Order: sequence, then structure tokens, then C-alpha cells
Amino acid sequence: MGNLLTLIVLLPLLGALVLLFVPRNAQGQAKAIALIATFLPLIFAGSLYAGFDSGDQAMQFAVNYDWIHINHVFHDKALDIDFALGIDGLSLPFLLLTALITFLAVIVSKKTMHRAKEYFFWYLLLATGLFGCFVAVDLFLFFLFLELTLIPMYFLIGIWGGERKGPVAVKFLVYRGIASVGILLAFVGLAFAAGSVSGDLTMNLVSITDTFAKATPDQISDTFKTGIFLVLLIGILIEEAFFPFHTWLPDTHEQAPTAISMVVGGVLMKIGAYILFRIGVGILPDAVQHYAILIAVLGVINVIYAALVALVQRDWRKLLAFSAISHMGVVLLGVAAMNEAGLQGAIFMTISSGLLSGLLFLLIGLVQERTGTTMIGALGGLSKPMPIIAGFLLAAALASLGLPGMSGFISEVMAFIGAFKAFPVIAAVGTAGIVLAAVYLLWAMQRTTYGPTTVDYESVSDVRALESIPMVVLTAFVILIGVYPAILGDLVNQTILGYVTRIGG
Amino acid sequence: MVEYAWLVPFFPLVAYLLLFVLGRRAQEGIVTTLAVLASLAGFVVSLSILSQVHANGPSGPYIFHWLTVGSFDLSVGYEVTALNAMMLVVVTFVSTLVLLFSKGYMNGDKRFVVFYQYLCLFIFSMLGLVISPNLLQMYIFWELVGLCSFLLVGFWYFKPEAAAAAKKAFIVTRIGDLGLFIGIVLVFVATGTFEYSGVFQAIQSGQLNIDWMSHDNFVTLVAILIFVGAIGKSAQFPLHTWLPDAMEGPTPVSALIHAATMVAAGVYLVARAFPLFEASPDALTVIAIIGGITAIFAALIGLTQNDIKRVVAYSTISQLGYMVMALGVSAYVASTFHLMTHAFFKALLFLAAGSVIHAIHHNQDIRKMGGLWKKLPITGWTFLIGALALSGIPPFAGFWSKDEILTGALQSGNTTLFVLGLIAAFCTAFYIFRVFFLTFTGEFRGEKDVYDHAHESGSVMTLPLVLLGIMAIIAGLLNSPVTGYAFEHFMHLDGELGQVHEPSIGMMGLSTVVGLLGIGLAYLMYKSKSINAEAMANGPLRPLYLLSFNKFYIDELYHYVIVVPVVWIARILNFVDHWIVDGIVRALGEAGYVSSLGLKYSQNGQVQTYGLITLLGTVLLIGISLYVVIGGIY
Repeated sequence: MGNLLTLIVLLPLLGALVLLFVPRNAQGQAKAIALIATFLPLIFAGSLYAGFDSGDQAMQFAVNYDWIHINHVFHDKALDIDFALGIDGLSLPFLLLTALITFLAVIVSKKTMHRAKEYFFWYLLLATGLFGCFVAVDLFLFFLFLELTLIPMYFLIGIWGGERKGPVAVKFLVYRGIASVGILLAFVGLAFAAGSVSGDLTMNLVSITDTFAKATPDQISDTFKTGIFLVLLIGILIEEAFFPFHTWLPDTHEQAPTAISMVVGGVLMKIGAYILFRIGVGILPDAVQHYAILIAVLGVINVIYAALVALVQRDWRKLLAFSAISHMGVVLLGVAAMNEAGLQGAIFMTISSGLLSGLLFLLIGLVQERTGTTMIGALGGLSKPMPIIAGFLLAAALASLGLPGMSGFISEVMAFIGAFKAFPVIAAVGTAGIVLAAVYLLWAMQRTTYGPTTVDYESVSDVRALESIPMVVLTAFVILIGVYPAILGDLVNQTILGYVTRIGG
Repeated sequence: MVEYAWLVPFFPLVAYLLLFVLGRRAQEGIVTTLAVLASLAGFVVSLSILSQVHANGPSGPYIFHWLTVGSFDLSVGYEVTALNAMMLVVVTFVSTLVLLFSKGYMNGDKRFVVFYQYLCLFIFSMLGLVISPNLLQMYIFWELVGLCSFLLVGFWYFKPEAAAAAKKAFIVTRIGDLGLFIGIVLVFVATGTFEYSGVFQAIQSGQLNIDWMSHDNFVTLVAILIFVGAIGKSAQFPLHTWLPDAMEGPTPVSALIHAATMVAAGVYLVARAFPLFEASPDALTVIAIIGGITAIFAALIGLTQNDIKRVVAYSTISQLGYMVMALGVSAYVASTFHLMTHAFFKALLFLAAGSVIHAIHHNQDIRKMGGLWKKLPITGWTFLIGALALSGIPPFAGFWSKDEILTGALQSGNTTLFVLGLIAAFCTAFYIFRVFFLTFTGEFRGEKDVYDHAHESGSVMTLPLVLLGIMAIIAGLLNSPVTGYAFEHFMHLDGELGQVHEPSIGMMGLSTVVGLLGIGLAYLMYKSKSINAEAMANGPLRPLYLLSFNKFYIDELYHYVIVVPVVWIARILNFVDHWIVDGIVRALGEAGYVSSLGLKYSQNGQVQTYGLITLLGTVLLIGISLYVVIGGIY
């Protein structure tokens, strides 16, 4: 089954290579190839889910090919960089999310757009990068995949974006380039620190994690850990678009085409959270605990600041971007708590936010296609001409504001249980976001679908059959997790128990 | 049968799903039949549960695993207690009648099926709330009934007022829900469980896992936080403002959700969690005061409103205030009893009001009504019964339950609350009979054409009125000397919660006189017109009249004290975000652009070049990082 992981990562790349041999004007073929190259990974990811042993904390379906061997990197130490893949309870949900969103976003992408072939080429490269990030067990490999997401995104925004696409694409590249520096520095630091203890210089995530878990304070000092973590945190804050490093996200969402917005909000910006869980909580738990109050306060600032700014946005896409930032603030709060409920809530919130971002940007894309605008003030009464899209928009908005029965609620409950255990006052301040989310989401939703129908929109069409697939599937997952959260909880449970044992309580 | 209690909410859920599948093409008759049958089936099961609880006592909870979080489990399930068995019967009974009534009222609406979908979803959620054995599950359904309320208030989505009212209802109650949310999370943090029984046990034994507060203060804090949820849901002062606006929804919705069931959920919650509240005398005092203020405050506003539904809505707020006050003075049985009787006579008043509104082309202004007794005899009679029950005139339902509450207030030693309750009772009798006289007696003051065409609706609408009318007459006897205080004994199957208050003859006499005085004043002002109402409103009492008419300017106060400042803060932050947080970034970018003018020839649009530069940059980065970090360690 391990080969499936390799296939999942490489199939989109293979698709991209095949695309090179497709004639420029064969746009239907290009989309078909993209569909296959993302659908197969979805199927494979599903079969990995079926075969996954949720009782096991170790990396499963692992593959490890020797790749780069450098002798005498430092003194007599050799550095091994391997093509090592594997998944555990933490990476599997992210893998499934990626597989789902990358496939659904291809359905949404129009084959009639200009330079469709190139679009799908970059898109598939992006998909390989995204898959790779979540299944790489080698830090160097992880970093390569992270970089692989950058360049395709730059072109996807820069060529197929809105009217300010150029500057926004550059902004995206610069921001995330800087984030990469922090992440790379931290990775290298981790590898060498672990190497100094174990004697083997390796970039392997599992052995680094083990070494750190066993190392005494004499071997790896707390100062070093907290220092490395701060460097990593800067990278994470940018990757994850946290205040004050968030400004690339609203711009990106405003300019990116719908499918790319789905991928950015649904998967790409979740890489930061994944690094926080995997490296922060997994390898440097002491450091996370050292900065717990700082992270919690930062989380609350994000929750409230972004919610308030969302309140006065005029463009749906910017509103949703700030809404996502606000929700991800809850993730920081949950992580800072460093207990079972907080961590599980944080992971749930990340996955839930990914699904909901994907769904909401899709719906707003559908609205834009029909009305020509995403400006909230210009819309109105869309329930009448497009009751189905309006209904799904209502459901998505409700899910996003934390209605029980949908994925957001249970995430919030767990994250806040964890947070209230650790720091009741900070957590209490953070709950204000729950009310603010209801205010801006209901306002925007009602302004769009309620009220008298604007004359121009009286005869716009409702959703078409093909378009309804992503909409229905994403909503189904949001409800599934909301009604039966164990479907996600059982996956991550063992991993969290492992983390919590390492924290020591 | 008790172990099948889950069937009661299950039926309406099935009906909801079936209606969802059927979609908009379904015939109105089939839709109504399906929904009514589901609710009726629930009613039958509820009755059988009630009789079994009566025979064998409470049962459950029946628990199922839901989610593992680290090393602890969250569960879902159901339970049957005397309190919720009573609620099941009341909710399914009123629901069935409202579903029937809606067939006539919503006849011909383009979204008829959608209306029934939402109603069935609501009934499911309300019943789910009632049988929940733990706080988390209760909260889940609590939010779902709120959702249904939102959907149904905004049912006529194309009307801007309806949309605004729906949003207001959701957001104002959510402010209350925030308190509830924090409350139950804190309960969980302290006790490690959401189960009612486990929570009560932990609190009574003092085993709370809290080190940042004394245990007594913690219990008070948690009790008040949970009560904040009830303030929102049961429209207590100061979060009452959403309920009158919620009257924008179709009238059957007002009857079911905003009178009989959902708004009573706050009272139900405090009653269900009563052992928690009993552990904190301070919290009980707060509850009693909030309830007392709400009872008199809403009654005063009700005196001067001209929209028939809004008067009834303010009366609902006021009556909920009575129930809350009763819980605050530990009159547990009186409160739950009033909850039950109120459900019958208030649903009746709303449906009767709906029948009037339906007959005269959706006019709701009582100044444009009059003389409808002849046209709508059944509606008139049943409205009169409801009004008498509300006014607390013997032997109607409200008389018995209200007297017990007043007795409870008096015996608790809080004379102020008792007097407030008595004054509110006077106002209540006055305003509901003001509506009665203006609507049913005198001359019709609207367009003659409308009056000529007004007629009683068909039996789907009158049958529910008659059945509710019968309940409004006899339900009060359930807790009276006539039946040997049967209701009280039944409720005590859950344990002896609170104190019992059986009213004295003196109290009965006093409250009856107060009620009759209110009716009498309404008669003099609006029937015989011996007192000129206009002159009173424009006379020396004008400031008071305006205060009442403008609802004590609470909406305006909130607008200027909360809404406007929040919007301004948001605008300022948005400015900061754009010009400072992002502004610095852009300034750096500009600086970079200027300095890179010389490099612009490298930007030739060749993807290969970009790729090469990126690769070189990455390699450089890795090199620098290695150098820095290795230097740092070795």
C-alpha cells in the first residue's frame, strides 16, 4: 500500500508532464487529464483511509528511497536526504482534505478559459506540492514540496487572476518566500541539533522527533528549542496568514480565480497549521508551552481583529478571507492550551475551516459567474432566481458561524474546552468571535439572498448539474463531521494522545 | 415504551427528510397529512410515556458513544423525566394543532413545502432538546431551534423587515448563547462531564476541578452564565428585544415557536438544571429579579402597542418573566405548571389572532379592526377564553398557575417582587382586553370591503382553536384542589425540587379582583368609552405613554451604545489594516521596486529564468541557513 502514497504524490506531476504533449488548443483533453490526475489520488487516498489503523501511532504505508547522500557535511558526519513518505493520524486528514479539494477544484475550473492547458499544467504541479507537504517524512523533502507550491501559485494568480493580479502574485511570492526562510532555518536547526545528540545527521522527521523526545536538557538546551521555535513560528504565522502577517491572504483571495481560491483557503494556507502541529507540538512541545500565553493572546487577537475587520468588508472574497483568519485564531488558542481537547479542537478546526473555505469560495464563485460581482452591496434577493445556490450559501454560512450539526461547532467546543482549562480569561475573551461571526456572515448572506430581487438578476440561472457536485460533496462532509465527529476524531485521537504523553500531562 | 422515547423526535425528523425529498412539487394536502401524522404519532407515544412515568417514575439516561477526545468521551442519548415527559406531551400537542392550522393559513404560498420542512425540523429539534440527557446535546438542539426560528421568522425572505427580524432574533439570542456556551464549557472543565446527573453530583459533593476561584463563587458564576442563555432564548430583559420583531414571521410560527415552545426553552433549561441553581442562592436571586423586572416591564409596554401580534408577544415576554421569577423564588412546580398552561392559552391567543389577521387580509393593526365578533364567532369565543386565561380569571388555566407564582413570590419574603407581579397581572388583564374590545366589539374601522368579505376559516383552522380553547379552560385544574394537586405530585417524581406553594383563598381572591379591575378599566376605555383613551395618552401622562409606546427606547439605546461603536471600531481597524499593517508591507515593496529598477532586465518574462533564479535563491538560502545554524551549534 506504501506505493499508493508515492502514486498520490507523483500522479499530478505525471499528469503535468503528459499535458506537455497535448496540443495547445485541446482544452477539453487538458481538463480531462487534470481530472484523472487528481481523481486517482482521491481514490487512493480513500483506500488508504480504509486501510488505516487508527490505533497505531507510527507512520503507516511508509516508503523510503535513498535519495541524496552527502559525505562529510560537517566533520565526519554524513547527511542523508531520503524520499521518505508516510502518514499518521495527523497527516491522513490533511491528505484526504487535499485530495478532495484539489479534485473538486478541477471540476470548477473552466476548460474554456484562456491558456487552459498551461493553467492545468501549473495546477497539477501545485497539487503535487500540496500532497507532498502532508505526506513527506523527510524535512528536506517537505521543504522542497513547500517550495513547489510557490511557483505554480505565482503563475496561477499572475496569469489567471483579477485586475490587480500582478502585484498580488508578487506579494504572495514575497510573503511566502520569507516564510520559507524561517521554516528552512528551523528545519536545518532541528536536524543538526538532533544530529548532535544521536550522532547521525538525518532529516528524517520520525527520528528527529524521537531524538528530541529523548534528549535531556543538557543535550538540547531549552534556549535552543525556544529560539528555533520562534523562528519557525514566524514562518507559520506568515504561511497561515495570521495577524500581522495576514495581508497577503485577502488580496490573494480577491484576485485568484475561484478554483485557486478554493485551493488556497482549503489546503494551501493549512500547511502552516500542519507545521505547527507536526513540528511545534510534535517536536518542540516545551517551547510551545513556554510561549503558550503569547500564542493564546495572538490567537485571540486574530479571532477578534479579523472578525471586526470582516464586519466592514464590502467584497465577499475579502470577508471570507478575514473570516478564515478569525477561525484560524481559534486554532492558535487550542494549540496554546496544549491539552487533549485543545489540540483535537485545533486539528478539527483546521480541517473544518479548509472544507468551509473551499465551499464558500466555490459558492461565491458561482454567484460571481452569474451576477458579475462579489460586492455584497450590489447583490440582493438571489433566493428567488437561484434557490439552490442560495440554500447552500445559507448552510455554508451557518456552518462557518458554528452551528451545531456542522463541522465548525464541534471544533469550537473542543478548542474552547481546552482553552478554558488552560487560561479561562483569555479563552472567554476569544468567545466574542462566536457572536461576531454570526453578525458578519448573516449580514452578508442575507444581503445576497434575502430581500427584493435586483432587476438585473431576476433571470440568472441556478446551479448546473456538474457544478453541483463540489457543492454537495463539500457540504456533505461538513455535515458528516458535524453529526458524527468520530469519523475524524478516531483518526487523530492516537496521535494526540502521543503528543499529550510527551508533554507530560 | 419509555425506552422508545427517541421515537418522539424521530417522527418529525423523518417527516422533515421526506418533505425535503418530495421538494416543492408536493401537493399541499399530502404535505400537511405527512407532517400532522408525524407529530400526532409523537403525541401518542408521548402520552404513553407520560402514563408510564406516572406509574414507574423517571427512566434513563440511555447513552451512546459519540466522540472520543483524547482520554475522555462525549456521548449522546436520551432520558425520560417527569419534567420532560410533560414537555413532550405539550410540544407534540401544540405542534400537531399548529401544523393543522398552517394548512389554512399558508394555503397557496409558493414555498408551502419549505414552510412545513422548517416546522418539522423545528419540532424535531425542540423534542430533541427536551429529551437530551446532557448539557452539550441540549446546547446542540438549543442552537438548532434557534436556527429554525431564524428560518421561519425570515420565511418571507423578500420582505426586508422579515430578514432584519430574523437576523436580530438570531444574533440577540446568540449573545445569550455565548453565556450558555461558556457556562457549559466551564461546567465540563470543572466536573469532567456534560451529563446532568454527573454535574449535579459533582457540585453537591464539592468535587470541582477549579483552582482559580472558590467553589461557591464558581457555582454562582456558572449558574448565571447558563441563565444568560435562558435570558436570550426566553426573551428576558435586557435581551428581550428580538421577540416582538420576530412577529414578522407567519403567525403559526409565532404561536408554536415564539409562544408555546422555543421561548419556554430557557425556563425549561433552568428547571432541568435546577439542582445546579439551588446550589447558589445568589444566582437564584439574580434570576428572580430578572424575571420580576421582565414581567412588569413587558406588561407596561404591552399597554400601548397597536399591532395585535406585538401585544401578544409582549404578553409572552411578561409571562415568561413570571416563570423565571418563579424559579428564582424556588417555586419550581409553579413555574413549570405556568409553562404548561401558558403554552396552551398563548398558542390559542396567537392562532386566534392569526385567524383574525387571515380573515381581514393580513392587517394586524387593532386600530383598523372592530366588530369582528359577528363575523368570526369561533375565533371571538376562543380568543375570549384565551384572554380570560391570560388575565388569571377563575377557573381558566392561567388563574391557577399565576396564583401559585404570586404565592411563591410572597412566601419567599420578597414583597417587592410580589407587588410587581400583582401590578403586572393588572396590566396584563388590561392590555389583552384592550385588544379584545378593539378587535371584536364596536364598529369595524378598516375598509368596508374587507369587513364584508371577512368570514370564519375552515375547520383546519377552527378545530385547533377549539381544542386549545378546551385546554385553556381545563388545564389549570390539573394543579388545583379539584384534582388533588396532581401536577405537583407528578413533578415530584423527579425529586422534591424547590418549594411548593398552594395558594390561599385570600390570594385567589386578590388576584381575581386585580384581573377583573384590569378588564374593567379596558371596558371603560375601549368598550363603553366612559374614559377617553386618546385624552389620557395626550394628557399629563403623555411622557409615560411615550415611554411605553416606544418600548422604553431600548432598541435605540442598543443602537447607539453597542451597534454604532462596534461598527466604528471595525471601520478604524479596517483602516489600520489597509493603511498601516498592509501599508508598511507595500511601502517596503515600493522601496524594493525602486532599488530593483536596475535589475528589471532580468525580468524578461521567461519562465525558465524565473525558475533558475528561484532555484539559485533556494540553494543560497539553504547554504546560509546551514552556515548560521552549524556555526551556532558546533
